[in-house]
Amino acid sequence: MHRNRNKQPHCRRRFSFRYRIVIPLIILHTILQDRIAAGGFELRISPETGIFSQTSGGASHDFFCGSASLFARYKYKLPRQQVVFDLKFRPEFYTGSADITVLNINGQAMYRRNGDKVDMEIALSRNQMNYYESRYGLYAHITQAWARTQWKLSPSAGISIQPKYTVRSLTGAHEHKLSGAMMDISFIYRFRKAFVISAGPSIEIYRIHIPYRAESLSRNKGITAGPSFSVNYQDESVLQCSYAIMKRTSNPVNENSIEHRIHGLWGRPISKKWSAFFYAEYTFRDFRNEADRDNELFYSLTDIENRIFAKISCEWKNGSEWFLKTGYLSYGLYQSSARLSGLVMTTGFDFKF
Amino acid sequence: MKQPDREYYFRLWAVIRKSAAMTATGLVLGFYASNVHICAQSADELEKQYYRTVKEAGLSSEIQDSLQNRIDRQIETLRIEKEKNNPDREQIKRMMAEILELRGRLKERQQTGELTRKRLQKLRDQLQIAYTRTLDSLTLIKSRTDDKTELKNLEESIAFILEKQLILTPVIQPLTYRLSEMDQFVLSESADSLEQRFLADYIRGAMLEIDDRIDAMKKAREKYDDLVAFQRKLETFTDDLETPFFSVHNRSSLRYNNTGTPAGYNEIGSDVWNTNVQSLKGILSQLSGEIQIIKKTTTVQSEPGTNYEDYIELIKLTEKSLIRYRKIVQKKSDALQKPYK
Repeated sequence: MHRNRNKQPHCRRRFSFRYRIVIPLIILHTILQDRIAAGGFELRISPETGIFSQTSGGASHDFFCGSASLFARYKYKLPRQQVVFDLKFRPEFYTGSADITVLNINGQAMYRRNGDKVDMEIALSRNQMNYYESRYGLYAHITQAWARTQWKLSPSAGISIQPKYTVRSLTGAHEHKLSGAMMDISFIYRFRKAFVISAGPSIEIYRIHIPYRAESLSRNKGITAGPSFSVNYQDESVLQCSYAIMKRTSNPVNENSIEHRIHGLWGRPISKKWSAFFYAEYTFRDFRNEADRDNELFYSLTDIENRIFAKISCEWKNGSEWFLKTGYLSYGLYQSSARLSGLVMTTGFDFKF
Repeated sequence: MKQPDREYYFRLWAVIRKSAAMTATGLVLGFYASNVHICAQSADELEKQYYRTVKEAGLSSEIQDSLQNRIDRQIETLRIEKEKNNPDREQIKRMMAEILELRGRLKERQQTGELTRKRLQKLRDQLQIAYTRTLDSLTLIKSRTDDKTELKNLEESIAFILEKQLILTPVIQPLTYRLSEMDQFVLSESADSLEQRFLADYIRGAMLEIDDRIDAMKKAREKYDDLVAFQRKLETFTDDLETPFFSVHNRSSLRYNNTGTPAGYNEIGSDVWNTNVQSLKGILSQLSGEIQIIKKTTTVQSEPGTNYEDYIELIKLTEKSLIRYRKIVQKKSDALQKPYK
């Protein structure tokens, strides 16, 4: 009797999980079964290990690093429609001058619909990143909702509108909250079968709040706006390049700055099994009011970082592969004054099921 | 709390104005750069050049075949001469010199043929661009027209241009041999050898055509399989870069979109893509009209045009149906080879 009573809450929890997640999924699958054209479950496990040589404040620290990421995807495919659920779990371990553990959990749901004239995509994602060092921990929660609509104006031209809303909250060793609403508009023109150019304005309105500060010094709000251009080539190899110049103005913190953002992504299959990839990004912020900087109230949502990464991979069976990855990164954490930079080289396997 | 003043809104308006101006400049430059070399030649001129080059390529191919045949014949004669008890050495030398000369001429022809093929590919690409531009203009005019007669004319013009594009696009051609036609040729016991030979030729031709289509399907499937596999690898690469170390940034700009770029505005959804899809559907509908067994397999309502994976599924389905169709034709061929009593 006693044992049964002890078991009850546990049973309730298990049933609760079944009722909340599994049973609705089964019902959904049963309802949609007749209409499903293809799709299914995909699982990926990637153990990885290597060296991270960190340079911070003039000093250099070497870390032995390792990680194992687990990626699961469930995809419903209906005629001209797709529903995709992604779940990613990635613990990272760093041992050297300090022991650091980082835990990343990411969940995402996306619905995509392709029409004759209009394509549409709606997505919701939630990221949880926990950072543990011997003395303190830092926790980030990021929730993003976005949509993308694309009108095909003609066989080779279109317009894309992408609104996005992000809320990022930091707790633990530092407290910081940021919310931003963004709107990207792009005019797209395909003038070769595999060659696409796009250009358009982008605007973002954001708010920053630091809970532990006095009210008058705890808030900042501002606007970032500017044009962006991109060139995409996709045939046997892939090349994507984009450039954006953004003007940032905020009030009451005087954060006038001009930002230049450059991204480049290249990939090419070298042979049937071997592939090579390269990624580079560079962001430059030209501060106009250096003396008035209040770093904690500064915007740091997008990539305030510079890095170059290269990877070669060799596939051996059913999409599973071995890889070698190397790169240089340099970025500010949530405060632009705290910079982290270093060289990283890792090797690992990517098992697909 | 301080409210945003008028200067703040003026600054904001200035930023928006500058962004709009830079975007417009970028677009104008982009359009100009892409159109400058195409404007130099009209579609009509390009078409004339294209078909002239097609003739050249055909002629070059015929000459190459003829030279190859002559070489083969000479080699055969040389072999016979060499196998003789008392070969004529002078004639052997003469024949060898002739073979060498023919080979030299063939090599030259092959080089010229290669250049013609490259020119043909370039002209094909230029014509595709010219047709796309014309289609763009016609679609735009069509969207602004209310007049029914005008609309009908425009639709006809669009269909005409699409047909031209279809001819240029390397799609899988429909089947010309029909199983139903083969059924009409029922051999009677009194069938003479000419009748039998005619039917045998027809079935052989059908088999060759089916093999050709299956081969084309296989090549297309392999191409897109490789493409999808590579896109997945690229997606994995950018996904893994999202968390190289502790970072709380938003990386939407980094994400690689595997449905094409940007946001699927690539080969998918294009006229070339739709044409390929339509040609595959055409073969499937041809096959479903031919035999009942294939009709069952084609009831899967795949709606390609959305992504590469759907397209691969459609190719697989067509390939499978063609293999079944081949088996049926093979049975007919086997039956024909049985002696009639």
